[in-house]
Amino acid sequence: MKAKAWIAPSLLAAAILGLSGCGENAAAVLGEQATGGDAQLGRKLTFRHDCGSCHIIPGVAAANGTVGPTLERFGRRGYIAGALPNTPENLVEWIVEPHRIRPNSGMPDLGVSPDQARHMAAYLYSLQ
Amino acid sequence: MRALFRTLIGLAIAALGLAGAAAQTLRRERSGPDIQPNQGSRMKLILKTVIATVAAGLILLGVGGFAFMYSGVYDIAANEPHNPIVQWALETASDRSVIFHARRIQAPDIQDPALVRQGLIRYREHCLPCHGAPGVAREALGRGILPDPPPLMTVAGRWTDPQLYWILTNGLKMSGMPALGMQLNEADRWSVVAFVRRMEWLSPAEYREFVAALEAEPTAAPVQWVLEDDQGLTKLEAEGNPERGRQLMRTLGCVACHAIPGRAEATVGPPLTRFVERQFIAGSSANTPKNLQAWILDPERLEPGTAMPNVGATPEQALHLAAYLYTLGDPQRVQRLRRKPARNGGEPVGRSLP
Ligand code: HEC
Ligand code: HEC
Ligand code: HEC
Repeated sequence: MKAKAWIAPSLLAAAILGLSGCGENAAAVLGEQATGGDAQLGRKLTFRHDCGSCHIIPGVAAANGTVGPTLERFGRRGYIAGALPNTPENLVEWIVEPHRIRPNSGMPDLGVSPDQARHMAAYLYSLQ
Repeated sequence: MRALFRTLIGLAIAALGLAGAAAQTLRRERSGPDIQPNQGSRMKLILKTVIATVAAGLILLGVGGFAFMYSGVYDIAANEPHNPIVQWALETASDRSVIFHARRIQAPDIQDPALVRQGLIRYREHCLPCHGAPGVAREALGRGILPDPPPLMTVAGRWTDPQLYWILTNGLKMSGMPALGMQLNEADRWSVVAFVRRMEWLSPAEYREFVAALEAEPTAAPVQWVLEDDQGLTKLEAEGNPERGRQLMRTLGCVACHAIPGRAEATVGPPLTRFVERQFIAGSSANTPKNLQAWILDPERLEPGTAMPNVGATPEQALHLAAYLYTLGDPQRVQRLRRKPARNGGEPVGRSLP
């Protein structure tokens, strides 16, 4: 192979890999404005509370559960659990105490604090 | 952090590429462009270079790996996810090992109400704290473990009865899954398998009834310890027409509220893409053909106060709609409703395979 032939592809690879992280942020801002939470922290908390054992959640490691509905594009969902209009307050309420809203629901109360729920809500609303 | 990681990988690739280019140039200059080396010595040179490179690489890898391990930089914290490659390697090794080691176990018949009931007792003592149950969260002990203990109602389908038995008897290394062979006798261990199988089709409300039945007198309202018929699967497969169902999704207005493959716009209700893999209908009923048709015919009856309207479908239309919805995703899940006799053979799936 010619020496020059190595240079272009490797620089291209570097550029693509380096830049592909940008652009994830616009949607996060949307979620944060709606809830006053921190979307990045929310993503971490979503992982740490094992929400992914029951839900598919884009951007959260090993989140491929099938017990609850997929949370892909959750920012656009009309209802929460078919029971509440999808507003930030309702979402926080749902994450904190689903069984108060739906006693027969397969989503149990998970011991999440309202503050943690707000950050997670910010992340979920960033999923457009 | 991730952007940084990606940039570093990019730079490494670029550095390798530039090094390759430099080496090529250097060699060309040294040997001169016009000299044709003789064929034999050239092959030898290439062979030597390859062997030397591989050897040097291995040594570097060994030394580097040890240095990395010993430095303590690797993050062992359970509250940060595994690197995806590490996770894939661990899961695959674990799954293959279970499949291999459970190959000679023979399962007894576990379709026995007394066995399922006994299994519920043992499950609540030994598994519930980590794995939870329908509508019941895992306890504090089971939280924050990595890999996390999955809800068994959804993952049980990946394993045959003997494999489930092997896992709970022997546990899984390098995960929080304990070996329970010392604490439960053989009959109890099979009873847990029997209950876990039943749990695949148990709703949160039914689970509560099961627990109540444990505590009440034998005369209390009977519960269905063993799931009876095939829950409408045979009729669905014989008479349901998925193509008709797909058309009805449009004509009855379902796609105004639900995303389905090929029509992803609607976001009022949850997406129905891969619906067959879902554990519950509307978060509260077992996802069986019978329940699905009942849901389409009258959502309010299954889930009072739900935002899904009664669209006025006929029973025949509901059958076709159900037939269509059960083509979305991996049909294995619903086919497990037909699982007599004991699932000894069959294709072991394991969790890494989709
Ligand atoms: C044990 C399984 C389980 C766990 C763990 C779980 N969920 Fe759920 N989740 C469900 C189920 C089942 C539903 C459907 C509820 C219903 O319709 O009644 C649901 C519904 C939801 C919904 C509404 C989705 C919709 O389309 O209606 C949101 C949002 C949600 N969960 C967020 C979370 C978050 C955040 C966590 C982590 C703190 C979490 N869930 C953990 C099972 C779970
Ligand atoms: C101390 C917590 C704990 C207890 C108690 C426990 N498990 Fe587990 N279990 C785990 C963890 C953690 C994993 C995840 C292992 C993995 O993914 O490698 C697991 C995995 C499993 C799996 C494999 C799931 C899969 O990924 O496909 C099965 C099956 C299982 N457990 C059954 C049981 C049964 C049955 C009991 C009760 C007899 C039980 N476990 C008790 C923690 C626990
Ligand atoms: C007006 C909007 C609307 C229409 C029209 C509608 N649905 Fe729904 N559907 C919903 C909502 C909201 C839910 C969530 C209900 C709940 O969790 O209580 C739902 C839930 C479901 C579920 C359960 C999904 C899950 O993940 O648990 C299925 C299946 C379903 N609908 C099928 C249909 C079919 C088939 C039609 C057409 C005959 C239809 N829907 C028409 C709004 C609608």
